Amino acid sequence: MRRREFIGGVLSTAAWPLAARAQQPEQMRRVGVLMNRAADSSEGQARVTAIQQRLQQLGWSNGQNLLIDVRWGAEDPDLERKGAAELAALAPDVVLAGGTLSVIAMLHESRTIPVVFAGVADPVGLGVVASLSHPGGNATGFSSYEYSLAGKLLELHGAWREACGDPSRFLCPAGHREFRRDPRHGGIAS
Amino acid sequence: MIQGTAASLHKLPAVYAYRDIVIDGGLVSYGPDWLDQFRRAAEYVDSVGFVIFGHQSMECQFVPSHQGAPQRYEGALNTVGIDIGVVGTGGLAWAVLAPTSGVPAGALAGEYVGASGDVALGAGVGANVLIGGSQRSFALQPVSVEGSVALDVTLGLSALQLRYAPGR
Repeated sequence: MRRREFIGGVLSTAAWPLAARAQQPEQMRRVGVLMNRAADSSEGQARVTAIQQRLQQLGWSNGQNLLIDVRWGAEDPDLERKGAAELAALAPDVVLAGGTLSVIAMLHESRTIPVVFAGVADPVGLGVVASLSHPGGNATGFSSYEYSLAGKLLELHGAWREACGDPSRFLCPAGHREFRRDPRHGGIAS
Repeated sequence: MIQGTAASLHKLPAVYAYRDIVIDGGLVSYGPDWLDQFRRAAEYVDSVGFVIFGHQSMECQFVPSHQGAPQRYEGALNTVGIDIGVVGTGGLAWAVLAPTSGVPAGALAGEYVGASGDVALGAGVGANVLIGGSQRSFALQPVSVEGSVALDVTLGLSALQLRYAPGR
């Protein structure tokens, strides 16, 4: 076979979802949302509203061509598991999982329903995805921290120490391997 | 009233990554814009959940890197196994690797499947490439154009059909 050269070009699908949708009759879709906040949490309500508004901007109106089922996991392992099981039973097209416990509960429940997550500190360390570039499996989404933020947090710590004295505790999530790996971050290794 | 944080249990002032904890009485927060993250997750719900797993057809455009006019194709995704980059709110992009710089109109049409071990791959072809087109002479390499924090979308995609659609 002849050596291939990078001289072909780019094949892309610009504005694909809207175009594809326009060609097809309206179909009701179902989204599950598992949120790691309590039902009465203002932050949780704000997040669900933000999700609904963005979906609406993308052409998905709740009650018209979209059904959104929300379960509140409240960072309580039992509630998260219960919510995940209830959502899986509804067989949604996709589940949006907010927070670490929610995505773990959801993946425990189903390895086939597509899961989009947000607010997960270390998806690779937790095994939610295989790697950032090739997540694998049925989950993708957003890590809540770009790893270099760890350095920024330590900078904040330095400024704090000057102003207020030494912080009494340093809590380092087990997943934040960058803390350990990179000697540039204030020389601190956890 | 802040509940459940290690610092609040011991009545320690603390820096949090969540703004809502500060609204509830915490000292300071420093972290991502969570609502924005959920808005962007909603975009992934749109592109990943509905479009890709919905097995819809798509409109494709091939832009040659050297000479020639853009070519339009209709694509159809089948079943499940590779990582694809997501552009904006739901487009996909592949780099097209061709044996020559001249790609005749319609030449990309055909069936594309994941490269297996018996396919000899040239320079620049990485994992998750799709091979196909006329005489199986083209390679489609997924391209990610999203920011570095966002993860690539993974799908189980084993086959892609392209049909030349010059009239659109």
